[in-house]
Amino acid sequence: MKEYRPLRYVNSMLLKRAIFIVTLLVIPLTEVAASFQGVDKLQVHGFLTQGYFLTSDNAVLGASDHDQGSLDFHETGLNATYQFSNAFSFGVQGLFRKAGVSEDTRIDYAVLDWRVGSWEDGEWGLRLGRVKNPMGLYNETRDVAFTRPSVFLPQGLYYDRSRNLVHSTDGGQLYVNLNTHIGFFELKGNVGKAENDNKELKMAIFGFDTPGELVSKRENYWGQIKFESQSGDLELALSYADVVLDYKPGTGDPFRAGATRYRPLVLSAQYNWRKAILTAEYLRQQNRFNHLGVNFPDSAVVTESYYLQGEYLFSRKIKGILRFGAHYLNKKDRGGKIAAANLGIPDHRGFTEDWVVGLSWLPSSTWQLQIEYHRLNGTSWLPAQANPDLSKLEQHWDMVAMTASFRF
Amino acid sequence: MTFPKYGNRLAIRQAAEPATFQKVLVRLVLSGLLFGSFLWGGFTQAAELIANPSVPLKSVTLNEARALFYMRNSEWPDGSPITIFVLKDDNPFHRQFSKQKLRLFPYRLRRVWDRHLFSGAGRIPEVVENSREMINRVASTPGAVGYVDKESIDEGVQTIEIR
Repeated sequence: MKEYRPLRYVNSMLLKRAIFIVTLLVIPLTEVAASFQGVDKLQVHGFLTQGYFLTSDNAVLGASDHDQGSLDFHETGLNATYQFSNAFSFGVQGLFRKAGVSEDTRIDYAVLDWRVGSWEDGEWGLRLGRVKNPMGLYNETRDVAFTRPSVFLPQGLYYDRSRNLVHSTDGGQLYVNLNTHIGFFELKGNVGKAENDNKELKMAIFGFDTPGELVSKRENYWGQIKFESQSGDLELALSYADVVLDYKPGTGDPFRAGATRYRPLVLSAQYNWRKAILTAEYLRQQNRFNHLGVNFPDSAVVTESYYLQGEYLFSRKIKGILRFGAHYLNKKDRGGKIAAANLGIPDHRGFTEDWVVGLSWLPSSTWQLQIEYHRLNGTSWLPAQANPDLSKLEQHWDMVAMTASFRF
Repeated sequence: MTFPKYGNRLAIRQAAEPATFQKVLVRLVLSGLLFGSFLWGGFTQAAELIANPSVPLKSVTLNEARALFYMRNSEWPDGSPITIFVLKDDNPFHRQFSKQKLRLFPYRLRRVWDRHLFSGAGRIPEVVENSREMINRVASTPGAVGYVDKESIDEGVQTIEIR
């Protein structure tokens, strides 16, 4: 079988620089382009985000626990959409992302959208290429600050360490849009493979950087049914996925060739009432680990997470947010005691409870500043690569997070 | 005038009492007029939903109008494509149209469009600079919908009533 090589292996410093330079160049160019006739079928947009993080303990996105905090967080994106005809369009987005020690330049999505059929109250079609995975309310646009209610998305549901598994699928998406008398239904189903860089996830499973790799060899499935009331006030979504990553052992690996399987189910609800937005999401994820050898007995664990979030618009430029989120890696071991005994890791690696209060300021339609304070109990979603000595992690910690973003 | 400062201050305060009352009255009347003219101005300047003459509709319900700007529809019942034109987010007419006609805070529209734009799934409206360009683009694009202040409307476009 031909080895699967995702687009990201084409990456180089050159591509990374190219995206950054092109982004800077395109900002004035779009102004020029706008003055030409006949370019309206091509739309170019982009964004830049710079973050700042300061924590009392524990490293988040760089050395945030040092005196000056961390500036090691950037996101730069550039996208273009071209409408060939009423039925065909093409969209692509390049993304450069630096988050602490990890740097990533990749094609975020590259989609040929073919609207195959339509009738009076609906349409259906196919999106082929690298498609974003519909999971919860925020996953498809998780790297764009302007779509995030706060600097950090609720980490129990949108945690960074499995991002490469979750953000997109190389394959296709079937979609159906239905306008009914009660509201708008949107169905999406993705089939394909995930990206093959899952080091952070591997470290979370095995507890250290093993010589082997977690690879996406089989088809993964992602699906979502979303309902929006006619007014758009109420939004409900049900998301489900079935994802398998195979473990490919390296030389001298204590683990054997086996499989890991993840089946997240997410329930989402959002209600808009004038200047207030209430959001709640719940995740129940089944994880299975099979045939990994005597050093990793077969096991099944259920991860659970939820959050409740309130947003309020004090004015059209200033928005406040208050959120409580919880994350339990093993539903049957909420205190992390079993994992602590088996793996020799601190028990607070098993859970996180997170209170967040924050503000977003939009001084103009192209700028956004977000600032927030977190009070945390637990370290379950902290990246192990940034915190190599787990025994130094503090269970109770505080964080101030800020981002400044520009779009065009 | 043993204590001129004290005495003067008293005198001023006594003299000021009736004047302040009159001032309050005058201000009330003035602000009433201002507020009224603002309302009237807002009323006469109201943004209207407009469409290319090819669009086979004379009126839409509020929810149908919202669905258009939420980009939920891609074609008209006769199969011709729908194109949506909008002004920039911070344009006063955009905010006015969103709040008064669609009865939505503008952030709601922005959120839907951003979700489409940055996920590569779904369409987004085309942005025009001003009322003149809005009229020109809607008039020259079959199946187009937009909005504009009442005074700018000309025969190149049709007005669509929101029921």
